[in-house]
Formats: sequence, C-alpha cells, structure tokens
Amino acid sequence: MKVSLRDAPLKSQVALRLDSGDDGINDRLAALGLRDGVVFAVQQKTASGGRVVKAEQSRIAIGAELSRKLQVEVFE
Amino acid sequence: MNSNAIPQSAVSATSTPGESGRMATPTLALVGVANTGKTTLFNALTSANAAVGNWPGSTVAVSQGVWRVSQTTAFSEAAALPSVLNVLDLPGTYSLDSITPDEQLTRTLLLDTANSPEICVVVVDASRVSHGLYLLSQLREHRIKVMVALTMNDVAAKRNLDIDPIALLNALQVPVVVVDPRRRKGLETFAQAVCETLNAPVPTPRPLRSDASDVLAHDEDRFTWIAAAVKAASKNQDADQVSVSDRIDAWLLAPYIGQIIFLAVLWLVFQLTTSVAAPLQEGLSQLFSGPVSEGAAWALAALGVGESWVEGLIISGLITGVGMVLTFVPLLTLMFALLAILEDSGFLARATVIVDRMMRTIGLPGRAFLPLIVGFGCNVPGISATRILTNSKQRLLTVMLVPLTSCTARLTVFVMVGTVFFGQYAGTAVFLMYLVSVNLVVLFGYLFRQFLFANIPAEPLAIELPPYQLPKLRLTAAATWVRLSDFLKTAGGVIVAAVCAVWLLQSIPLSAESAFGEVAPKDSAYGAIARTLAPAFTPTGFGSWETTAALMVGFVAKEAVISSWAQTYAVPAASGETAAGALGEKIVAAFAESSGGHPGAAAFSFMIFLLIYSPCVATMAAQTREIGKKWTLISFVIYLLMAYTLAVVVFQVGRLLW
Repeated sequence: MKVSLRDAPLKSQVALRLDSGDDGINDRLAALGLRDGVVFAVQQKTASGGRVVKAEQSRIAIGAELSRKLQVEVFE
Repeated sequence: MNSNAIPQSAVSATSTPGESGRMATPTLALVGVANTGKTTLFNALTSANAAVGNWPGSTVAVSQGVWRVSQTTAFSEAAALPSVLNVLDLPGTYSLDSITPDEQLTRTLLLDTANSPEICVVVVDASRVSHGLYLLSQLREHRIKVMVALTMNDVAAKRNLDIDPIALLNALQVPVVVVDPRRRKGLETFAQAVCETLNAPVPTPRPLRSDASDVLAHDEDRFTWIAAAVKAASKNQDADQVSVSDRIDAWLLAPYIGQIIFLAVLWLVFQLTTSVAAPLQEGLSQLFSGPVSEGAAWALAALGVGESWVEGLIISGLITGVGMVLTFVPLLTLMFALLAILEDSGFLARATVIVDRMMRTIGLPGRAFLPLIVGFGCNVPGISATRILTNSKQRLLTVMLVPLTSCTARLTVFVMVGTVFFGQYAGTAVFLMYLVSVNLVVLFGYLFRQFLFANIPAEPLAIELPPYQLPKLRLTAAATWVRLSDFLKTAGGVIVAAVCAVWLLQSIPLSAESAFGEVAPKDSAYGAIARTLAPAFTPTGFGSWETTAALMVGFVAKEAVISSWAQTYAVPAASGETAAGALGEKIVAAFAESSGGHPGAAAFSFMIFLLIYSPCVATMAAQTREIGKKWTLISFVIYLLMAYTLAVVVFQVGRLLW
C-alpha cells in the first residue's frame, strides 16, 4: 500500500518510494540515508505537522510539506 | 575582498587558502555533517586563537584558528608535526553536492582551488556513523589527504552501538581516530594521525565501478561502500533501542506541548538577556558616567586641560563610547552563553522543527525564530545570534529583519512618549508598537522574499536530530569568548568612532562668539544640521529641530533620544512615568506646534518613525560584520524611506481623527 509519509500510521515500518521529483531534495534525503527502497520507522508526529522517522542509527525530522510529498510503502 | 572578512591577524601572518600563493603553514579543514562535534573539535584545537567571520567574497561563516600543537600535545616534537597548523571549521554539510552557498563554498575550498587545505578531517558521529560517511565517500574520489575523527563515542556507547575504529580504518582505507573534544580526550592520538596523514603521499582516488555519467549508480556505489564499512566496524548494534533522546523528543516535539516548552525556553532566554543583564548594564553605565568620567576630569584638570575641548573629547567622546561598548558585554555574554548551551544540548535542532511551518511563511527556517525573539531584548545580540543559521541567504534575510524588532532601548522612549502624550493609555500605545513591530517583521520578511531574495532556496525540512547532551561549561565558555571577543574587536571601534563623531559635531561652533567644545547644542554644527533637516519632517508632524536632533542622537543609541531632548530643552532627563514633568510639557508643546495642533497623531507618527528609521550604531556595526556594508546600506535606505512614508501616512490620517 503506497501512501504519503504523512498518512502512514505512526510506529509503522515503511519503505521509501522515490518515483521522481526534485533532484536536490532526493540528494539531501539520500545524504541523510533515506534512499529509494530504504526501510524506516515512522516514530512520531511533530509540532509543526511533520514526522520523525528512524532510519538505521539516525532520527530524522521531516517537515509537514515534505511529509505530504514523500511516498512510502507501509509494511506493518 | 569583502571588508567583512575574517581578520587575518587572528589567524596567521600568511595568506588564506584560495588566495594566491601556497601557505607556509599547513591548513587542516574540519568538515562534516552539522551537530557532529566539528566546531567543538575546532574549539578544542584552537582554544581562543580563533576568529569567526564571513569568508572573503561571501556571506558564508567560516571559523579560522591556529592550532598550536605543542599546547595540545607533547607529541609534536617526536613526530615532526608542524608546531602550528591553520584550522578551518567549514559549514556543516552532508555532501559535496553544491545546493546551498555554504555547500558551494565548502566544495570550492576543498576541491576547486589550487590552494586547497593540506589535510581534510571528516568529523563523524559514532552514534550515526553511516550518516557522516557519505561526504567521506565523495572526498575519497578526489586527490586529497583525508582522515576521519570519530566523535560522540559516549553517546554511541549509551545506545549500545560499538564502532571498532580499526575495522572502520581497514574498510575505509583512511586513518580513523577516536576523539572526544568535549572532554579533550584523544587529542594526542588525533595529532599523531594528522602528522602521519600529512607526511603520507596523497592517496589514489577510490575508483567508482559505475559509469561516470550515471549519478544514481554513483550514489548506489557510494552507499554500498559505506554499508560494507559500517557492517565491518559495528560490533553490536541495537538501533531499535529507545534512547533518552527518543523519550525527551516524545514531549519536546509533540504538538501543543512542544510549542509550549519551546516558548517557555524562549521566554527564559529573553528574560535572562534582558532582566539579568539590565542591572549589570546600568551599573556599568553609571560607572562610566560617574567615577570613570569624574576621575578622568580630575586627572585632566591636574594636567591643565580641564574644561577644555580635550576633556570633551575624552569624556563625552572616548569614555562615553567605550562605556557604551562595555555595557553590551553582560548582555552579549549571557546571550552567547545561552546560545552555546542550547546548541550544545541539541535543543536548537528541535527548535527548527517546532516552528518550521510558521517561519516558512516568511521564507526562514524554524531556528531563525530565536534571533528575532532575542532582538526584542536588544538588536545587537539578536543579529549576532543569526550565526546559528547555517544557510547564508537565510542569515542575510534574518539580519535584515532583526532591526524591526522593538528593542528595550526603543521601549524606554515609547514609555516616555506614551506617558507624556497618552497618559493612562500609555500601556496600550506601547503594546500597539509591539504589534506594529511583529507585523513589520512578517511584512518585510514577505516583501524581501518576494523582491530581494527570490532565490533563497525553499528547502523542505529534512534534518537529523542529534542526541541530547549535557552542555559542557568549558565549551560554553570558549564559544562565548570567541563570539564576544569577535564582536568587541569588529563592532567596538565603530561604536566609539560614532560617539566621537556626534561629540565633534556638537563641539563645532557656527559663530565666532563660542569656542570649540564650549558651544550650546543649538549653536553647534549638530544644531545646524538638525535645523536643516527639520523641515523635511513637517509632513510627519514632528518637524522641530529639537526632535530632529534627538533622532540624530537616536542613531547612536535609541535611549539617548530622551537625554538629547533634555539637553536641548535644558531640563533634567527623565524616563517612563516620571517624564511627565517639565520635559514632558516642553515636548508636548513642541509637538503641538510642529503638528498644527495634533500632538497625539504626531507622537504616534514619531514612535513609528523611531521604530523603523534606523537601527542604532551598535546594531549597524553588528549588521556590517555579519552581512557586509552593501546589504547594511540597502536595509538602512529601505527602512529610512519606509519609516518616513509610514510616519507621514500615520500623521496625515491621524490628524483627521484627533
């Protein structure tokens, strides 16, 4: 099931699906360890409507706007 | 070269990288992701021998310092390590992909110049080691001497992450050193590794297996290399463990509660920088206007130059100017210390997340909220606080917006004018000025974004949250001292010169009847300039020469507006509620005359003008230091024109109403 990161259930494991989009954003996400296919946990909702995700050893805060744009596949 | 550049004397007598000629002293560049301890390592190596400033020709902040190796370790003599190294603390960056000006500068300094640093140290956080290695993977594709400093090992240990530096070294094929700059541990080993790397030949670039034109394949190649190295170096790994940081963030980043905690922290910063520093500022001010000035007057009298222009220059110029600079010291010390604590603890990264959406409306990241809030206490530390912004364009915009925040110096004038003109409604009038100030920040933020900085990257928020740490006193003190001394060196001279210039104008007589330095303000060059400019303020309702003169002095310090009125009207200075005496009556009478019988409208127009027309000289000095003369001048002209326009509109509309 592919949904936006914002719509993915909290505490779920998801895989990132970078279909297309801004190369600059994709580069930045890749540098943070978030590449196409990477599995991570959606940890919590933030005060500004974004999400905190946990990928490998890193905890990454993603803003509300980007959370709406990013597509993920929910595993559980 | 940018006049706002880092003072080279603070670094060495040799040239900077990027300028012509190979440097005699080797340069070591510290690079890495933000919040990995890179700046902490820089501070540990350079101690107080550092300068923070913009890189020549850019507005990107780069710290430069001198690492006196013999003071760090006894190792240098035995290993033929140079006794001194220049150290650059480059802006935090994830990669060499040039997206922001900061990243472009980092790339240029490391790769695109003939004088790139002799050695590049990638600072990697051991608690998230894979994250910091992407930059290393890109550096390894170039002919550059590179090594890894592995920091935050204590944090990694708490998270049950055990990274074997030897295994990492073998996998990466670059020197790896465990170092704890917060506790100054491992610096000797670090020095040894630097020496070995410096003396070793330049390594052959790591070949990429993929086609050079296939960017995605390149990335995949790099990530495979990183994953293999991390796997080889990780002894045990439990990434799913819930850490203390996770637990704190569950509250701190949560909707509603997170915002309340954030506002409480900001309130505390605001309170500490104003309430705690205020009595210290007052004490220093009294010290300089009292005992220091009296002592100087006594000494000058003993030397036979008492009550002469020499006394005026020394007491009203130099001592007043130096006193003004020093009154900022308590305020700035507190501000810089608090910023260092917030930064070191990991809180600032969370601030970015919490107010991100709100600040994004004016094109700024969440952490820009802090300098703006601090600006309401005093614009000077507010502008200095913009150093926490890593993107230079965002920093430029924030520096230009901070002068619109109504500082406490303006508040003293607002309270005085409000009391004199609006009596029991003074509080409402002052509150209105704060509302105007907040709205102006939003309005100008929007306008600047639309017309001046349309190319500011609208970066979506995607940042790594560093683990929380207890701030270290020594680090806080070192960071505070570096920023404070830098302010005193660069802005202090400008402030003293401006105060002396005002004294000079007030000392020059326009007729032969008075001697130099012994002339009443209205008969001086200063009075003549005010009389010349005053008619221009007729449409604003406050076109008297006395008020024009007060605004001229207000350029030096906003609170000096009141004392200027007192001086020109020849009545004792007062402030706040006590102002409704003889001085208040004279001001009301002057405004009534200059406004044609609409003093209330003129007073409100005056407060609007005072809020916007120009920051004080200390703020402008701080602005110049941060964004250069060009942008300081641009913002000065924009605000002056806007202040005048708004003041005219307010008065012309206001006089129809009351």
